[in-house]
Amino acid sequence: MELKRRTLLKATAVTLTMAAAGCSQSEGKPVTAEKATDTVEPDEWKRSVCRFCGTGCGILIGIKEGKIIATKGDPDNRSNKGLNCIKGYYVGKILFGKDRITKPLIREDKTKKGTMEGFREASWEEALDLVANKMAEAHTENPKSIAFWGSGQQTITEGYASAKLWKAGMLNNNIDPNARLCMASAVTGFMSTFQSDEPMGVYADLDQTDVFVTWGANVAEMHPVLYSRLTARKLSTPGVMHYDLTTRKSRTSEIADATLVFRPQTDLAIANAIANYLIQNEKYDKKFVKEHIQFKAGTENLGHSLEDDYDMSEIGQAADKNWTITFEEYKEKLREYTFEKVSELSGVPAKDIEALAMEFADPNKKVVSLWTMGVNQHTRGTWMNNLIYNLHLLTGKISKPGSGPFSLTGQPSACGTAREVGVFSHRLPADMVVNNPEHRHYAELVWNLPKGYLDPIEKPGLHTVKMFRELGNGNIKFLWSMSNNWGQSLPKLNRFLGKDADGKGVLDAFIVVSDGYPTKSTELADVVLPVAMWVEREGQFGNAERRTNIFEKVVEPPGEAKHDLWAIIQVAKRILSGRDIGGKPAFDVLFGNVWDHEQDDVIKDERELNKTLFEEYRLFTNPHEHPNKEVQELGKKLKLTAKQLAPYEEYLKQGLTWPVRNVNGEWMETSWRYADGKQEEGFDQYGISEFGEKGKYQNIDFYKSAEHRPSVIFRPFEDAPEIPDADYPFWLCTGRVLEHWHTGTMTRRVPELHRAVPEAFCEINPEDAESLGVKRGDMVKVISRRGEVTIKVETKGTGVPPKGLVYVPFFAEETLINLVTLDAYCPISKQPDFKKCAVKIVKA
Amino acid sequence: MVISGLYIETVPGRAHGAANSVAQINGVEIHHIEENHKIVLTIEAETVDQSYQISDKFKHIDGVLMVCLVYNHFEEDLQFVQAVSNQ
Repeated sequence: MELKRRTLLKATAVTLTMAAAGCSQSEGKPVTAEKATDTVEPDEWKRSVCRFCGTGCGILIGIKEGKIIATKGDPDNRSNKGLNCIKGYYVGKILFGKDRITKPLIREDKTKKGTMEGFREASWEEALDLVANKMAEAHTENPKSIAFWGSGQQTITEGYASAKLWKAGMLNNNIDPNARLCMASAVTGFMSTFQSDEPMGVYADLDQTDVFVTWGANVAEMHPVLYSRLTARKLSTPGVMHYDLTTRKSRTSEIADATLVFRPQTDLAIANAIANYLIQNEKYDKKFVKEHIQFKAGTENLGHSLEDDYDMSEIGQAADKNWTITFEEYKEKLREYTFEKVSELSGVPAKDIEALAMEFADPNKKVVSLWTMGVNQHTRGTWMNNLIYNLHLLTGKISKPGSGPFSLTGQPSACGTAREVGVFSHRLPADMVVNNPEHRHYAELVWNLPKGYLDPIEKPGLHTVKMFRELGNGNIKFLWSMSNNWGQSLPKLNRFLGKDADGKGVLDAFIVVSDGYPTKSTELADVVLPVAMWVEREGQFGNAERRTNIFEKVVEPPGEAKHDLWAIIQVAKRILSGRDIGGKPAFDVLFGNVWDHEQDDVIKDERELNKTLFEEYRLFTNPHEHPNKEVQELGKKLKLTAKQLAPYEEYLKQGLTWPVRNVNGEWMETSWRYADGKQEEGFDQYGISEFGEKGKYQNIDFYKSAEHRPSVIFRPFEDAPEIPDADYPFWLCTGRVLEHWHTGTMTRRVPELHRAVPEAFCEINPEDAESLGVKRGDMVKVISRRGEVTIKVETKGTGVPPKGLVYVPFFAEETLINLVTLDAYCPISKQPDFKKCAVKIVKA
Repeated sequence: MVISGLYIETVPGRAHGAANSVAQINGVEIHHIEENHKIVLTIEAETVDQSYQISDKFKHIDGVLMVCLVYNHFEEDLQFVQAVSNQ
């Protein structure tokens, strides 16, 4: 490479990096007097969003003469401001593993289920016909015997089309996303406290806060770019504090001012101890409470959802009930949660809990709480979400720049697709639910269905764990899964691999898996549909801060791989054939707008296809733009513009956080929901003006909450379903590592990432290792009452578990730690707990 | 030649020490240290894989909290260009 060119490239790299790192350019060492010129620039930069976690980092992909020659963090994307984590090196390479599935596969030999043997290649026509026929067969025999398992990795339009096909096309609610495994508790937490899903603040709160509280979140490794914002704030501003509440020290603990390592499940008690301190010492914001808050209690002694019939039991049916109580009653219920008692229960020194309580008590301090799977994957996950909201509501540290409770997500579109579109067994788009007649009617109006057409879906369908339990029981005969890997990610996996007696139905059912690579799930499939991954098609993700982003198509998918929208609509065309809705062909009513009748195919232009579906979806969030007055009026009553979205073209220019308001022709995002102020400064001016009241205390009006008052809900400490004992003396916690994402189906295809962390490991406290007579690198068996794995001991990893707890990541399909985990779930959110069960460790 | 721009965040007060160690790695050039907790650097390497391997070493250096990638120009790593351009 000639010197000048290299100098120019370096100058470009340094300039961009300095800016992204927030460095002062004037202090930087000048690397060159010359400015980077067009000679090193690509012909064009295509806008994209990272394929991995829920941060939603913008990535620009540089194209020159039709080839990708560079990538850079998108400096204009307000979620990541130009930074990417180390996985950014290879996000493009995930598309090009050697074993991409490039043709539809049909299983010829059912005895080979559980392996990738016994398949033959087929044409799309044959595969789609077979999928539609098998689906129709099962549906005819029993309409409840079909199911769809979607994903927080589906694009917004893919999620929308699959939900519409299932709910309106098949009149079936057996559709749920893998997001049920990662953030269902966040959803039910938001809904029970605020009656509106998703955070009120944005990532910019991290740049302005005084106190960070991480609850069960290893942000440093799981959301590295957000952690960079945390560290940048903390390290540049004297006095900014970070409290890390965790069951295992991780890289996130390294610069925390205090790391509160608690006994699993006792986070419930710790949160209550803080609330108790605030109330007993009158350190809460009395005016905020008086003007904005109501108090509630809910069903207690929920037991545990270990049996298949838990949901239908008396306690299962009552689990989500709550009722109003007085402040005094709430105060009394909290009284037993003293620092001393909770310290004894949790193992956290009382002074540490008190120090954190004092931070919440300080009226001059801004506090941001961040949490992920430690809180959500919890048999009392909904409660834990409620309890964090309680602290922010009692102190008024919410809906303000630099202050707020912030639930992070693990997938790129868990918010945008699974939650906002409503790819859940109980939901409809825009916070609506199937068991509300007005919500169903609104969907009927948007989807051009006769009044009452959606009445058959008034009862929620099967949530994820129930869906797979019923698959195992033989009651689900047809399953289609998309953008997920249940054969590796479900808990208590022996059952769902068809190995346990109550899982045999998995082997008999007809299973369709849409994926780009062979996985543990495709091994159980009858048909595998090869998919266009990431930027092999156009799509949209919605991230954790309510930001909707579009990613453009950059390369063609390999072989005969097709984007999922195409497959969904093609199956819809077949399955809806011969059915009528209101005297018209059902397919034309539901998907006629995305079918090219001349070509007899799905609209080929992906921009047009996506835009058409997105604009239809937008009618759920922008009722005032619908020509039908009934839609406008009902939409206003249901406050649907609280989630208002901009037209599709606006997102091609930049990502925007909803609600997005049209201010004199300019679409402006909202950073702080429920907070009055100028829209151009990020406040919820139009939401307050339409649904709220100006001038309330601190200019806040929680206009989506019942009576405009979110609920402080009392939730007690209740212990975990399986606690270590003499036979199984260790807690097992599972999770991720920096280098691999989820079940590793993409990152393990990148040789360098694979080499960086080639195998799973079991982190053991060095003292425990010594007691067990094992050392780093030895092989041990991790055994629970459900299964076992053989795995290598790690005593010097990035995480340090306390004595009595071991940690194992779940990315490695040859070390299926989910054979060991427990499938008990939160009785309200139905999200299983991957963070705690009892195991024993023996030398292998 | 692959040119990458990266940013390292260190424990406060440890950036200079960490930068000294990082700078020993072949292909790394330190361009700026700010407030003794931010290091801005470039990596020159023959391939993207080599660049990644170099950056992967940073996490083992004392004081390093996190590493962010900002810019990655790999036009001359023809194998990688082919791989990511589906050609």
